[in-house]
Amino acid sequence: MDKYNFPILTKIIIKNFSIYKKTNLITVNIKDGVFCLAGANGLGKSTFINIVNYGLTGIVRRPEAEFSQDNSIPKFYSRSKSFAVKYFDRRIDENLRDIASISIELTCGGKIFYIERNFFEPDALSKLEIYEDGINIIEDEQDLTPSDFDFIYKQEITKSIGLQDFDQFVFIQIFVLTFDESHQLLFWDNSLMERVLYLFFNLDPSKAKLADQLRKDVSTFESNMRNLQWDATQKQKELTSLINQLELSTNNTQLVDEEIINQYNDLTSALSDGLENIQKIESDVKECDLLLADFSLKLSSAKFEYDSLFSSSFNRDVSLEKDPAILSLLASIQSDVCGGKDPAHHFEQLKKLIWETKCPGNKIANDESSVKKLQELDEIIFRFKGDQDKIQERKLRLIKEYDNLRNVANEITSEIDEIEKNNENFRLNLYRPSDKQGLASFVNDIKIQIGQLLNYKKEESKKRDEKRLELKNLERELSSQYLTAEEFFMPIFTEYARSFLGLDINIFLQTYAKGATLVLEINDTERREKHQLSESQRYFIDIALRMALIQHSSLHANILIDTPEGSLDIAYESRAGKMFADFTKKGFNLIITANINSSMLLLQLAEQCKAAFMQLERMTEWTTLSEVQQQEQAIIEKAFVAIEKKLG
Amino acid sequence: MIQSEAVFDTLFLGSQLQNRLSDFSNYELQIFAYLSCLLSLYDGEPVSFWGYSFIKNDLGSPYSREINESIEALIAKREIIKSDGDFLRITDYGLSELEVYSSFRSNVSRLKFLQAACESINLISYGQVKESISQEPILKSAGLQEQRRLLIDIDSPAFSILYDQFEMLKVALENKFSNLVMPAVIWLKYLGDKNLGKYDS
Repeated sequence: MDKYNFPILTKIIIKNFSIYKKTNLITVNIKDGVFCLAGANGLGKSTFINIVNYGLTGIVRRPEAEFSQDNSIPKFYSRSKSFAVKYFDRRIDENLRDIASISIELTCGGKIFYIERNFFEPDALSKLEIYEDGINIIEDEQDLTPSDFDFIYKQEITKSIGLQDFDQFVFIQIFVLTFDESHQLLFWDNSLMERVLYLFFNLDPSKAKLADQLRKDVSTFESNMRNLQWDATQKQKELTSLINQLELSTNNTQLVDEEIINQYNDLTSALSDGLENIQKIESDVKECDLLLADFSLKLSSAKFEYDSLFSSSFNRDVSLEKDPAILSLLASIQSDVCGGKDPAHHFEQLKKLIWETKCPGNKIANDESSVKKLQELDEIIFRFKGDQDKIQERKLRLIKEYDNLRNVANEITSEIDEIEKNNENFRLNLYRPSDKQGLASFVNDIKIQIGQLLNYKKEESKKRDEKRLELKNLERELSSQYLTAEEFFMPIFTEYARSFLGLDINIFLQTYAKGATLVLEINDTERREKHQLSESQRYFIDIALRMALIQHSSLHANILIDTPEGSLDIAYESRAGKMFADFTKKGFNLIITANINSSMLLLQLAEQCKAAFMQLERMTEWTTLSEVQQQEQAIIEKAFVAIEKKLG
Repeated sequence: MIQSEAVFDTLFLGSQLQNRLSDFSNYELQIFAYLSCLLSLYDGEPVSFWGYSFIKNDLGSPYSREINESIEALIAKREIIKSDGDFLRITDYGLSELEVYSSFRSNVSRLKFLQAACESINLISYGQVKESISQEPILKSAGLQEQRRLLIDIDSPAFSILYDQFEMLKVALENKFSNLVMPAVIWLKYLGDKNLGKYDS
């Protein structure tokens, strides 16, 4: 059975992250064992976990979004992508946006990865190096764009871990290798647990993907079946009503006046023409909207070009020490110098900028060409505005026409309704006795339509059953894989869980209508409902499950845990510390954030791991404390000293 | 980024004000830029037309960051010089640049509002303009509030009052005037008189 090679983080560098006020360069070397970032509330501990995950995956999990809302790994990944930019927006100052980044050094599957990601470009890597046997395997590096780096990283890391798709890695990193402040639990969330089971017990990642696809297909076919059944029922109702009217009409010889029928036919024909015109106008209005959107885009890009050119030509006369372009270059040089990089590559650009904008001979020529270009852009903007106004006028006229036509159509519909209401069995009268043949054929047509709809439904039902069967087979395969693995997996989990809860714990796989899940049993009683365990019991049982899953499926891994002691009953603090220590002793690494208080959790962890296997990083080295926290500084210091004493 | 509309307005209003008052201050320029913006609204232009925004400064007068930045940038380019303390003058170089910018179509569409605002001081004094502007509904309402907010905000109640005043003015003038100078002066006089309690009865 192949195991996953999860990434092992060895170095984290955070640059220019504004909420860490004390320094613009944070370098953390992660050794084997526990890395604990300790500090008071509100200093950015949870943010640190999100930064690391962002560096690895390019996403930050939306805190309010539960996985079951997406219910699909690819959908979760694609929907989470846009959140990172919003998340970092208020945590990084405007002037640092371009130079704030996260770099991670990690080993994975025998390779060493160096990655650097800007906080506002989730789909790009500003740096990528991958070493295998000491050689960088990235070829023609200078020809690659940041997006290319990101693409290569996704491919290589996925392959190195042993997964099929990068989104599966993102899922595992966020939901299994991380226990963050949102506390989304695997137990008690069937949609999440099922994906985990496929990824960790089938150990062929393509099966997890296939199961997702099959589930989506089954749901599509079921939805089609429901729609077809509804259509068939409507048709059946229409048919029944027609047959009833036919029966009634045998006892009712009173027919509607020829004149009224003619009037009715005229009205329906006028209504049909009116509706056709309405449709035409609707499509014309849509076309106008499209053109307006197109012009608005063109206008805004021309205006942007105009403004940029105006601004840059305007700055040309500004003295050297006040020129924003030169100041921005100097800031980049400063960043390189402070970051230990060679700034020489900026010098050529600086020389060019001074030559083009500050040397008198060039300035006059540049001024003339800028004015000419500005005039051209001004003309283009004017033309676009004119065209846009014309389309706007056309749209307004069309909307007016549409309103008129709609009013006329409503009036005609009321007249038709009136005629139908005032003349019983009117519809039937449309088929005069002489037209019995027509009526029979009409009834027959409806029957054929109903038959067709039911046939389509049957076909969809057959397809659904086929997919269901495939899914069932996959689930059976999963059950059998789980049972094989249970022998090894169960003892790992029960050991962690028992060491924390001190009770006999059992878990078993249960299949249900929509899939499979793991059910927890404590002292022979099923705990399916959340309220059957306290909040902290739930959190730590879930962490125990993650640890067991990781230990079962890999030889090494990092797990990220955000302030676990927050809700912990005092009686369990020491036990939780021991559970974490046991995990690290098996060769797994723990990156943990913690509130610095008198919690036994940290003390126990420090006692068990000692300085050789536990690093304690004080957040006070990164950022400043609030006034209230400063007042409590003595107590905080005492807590630090106690932990450091245990570390030895 | 320097705002092209604000640069043009600064040069144009500055040149007009110095023709009439020999020089001008940042504060005066801001008042006439704001008045011009209100006239564009009177003329039916949308809020987005003006291209830059205003807030209330500590003295309760209109203030635009873009105008302020334009003045600074034009001083750095020597298109504006400081003449006497805080007073400013457009240089010959600035006037020649204004001539170039005046030919741009995007600027031509603003000229009638800027011109009308400046020409109002041919008919009423600068002091009256300043006093009346402080009484227009938006600035008056902003003066009562501590919080800073954008002055031209279509969601604010004061904005509706301003539009009501404009509508009344249009009805009263029955489209008799082809340019905006007379409507501007009549409205400013109305605001001044209202402040003096002439309409209280």
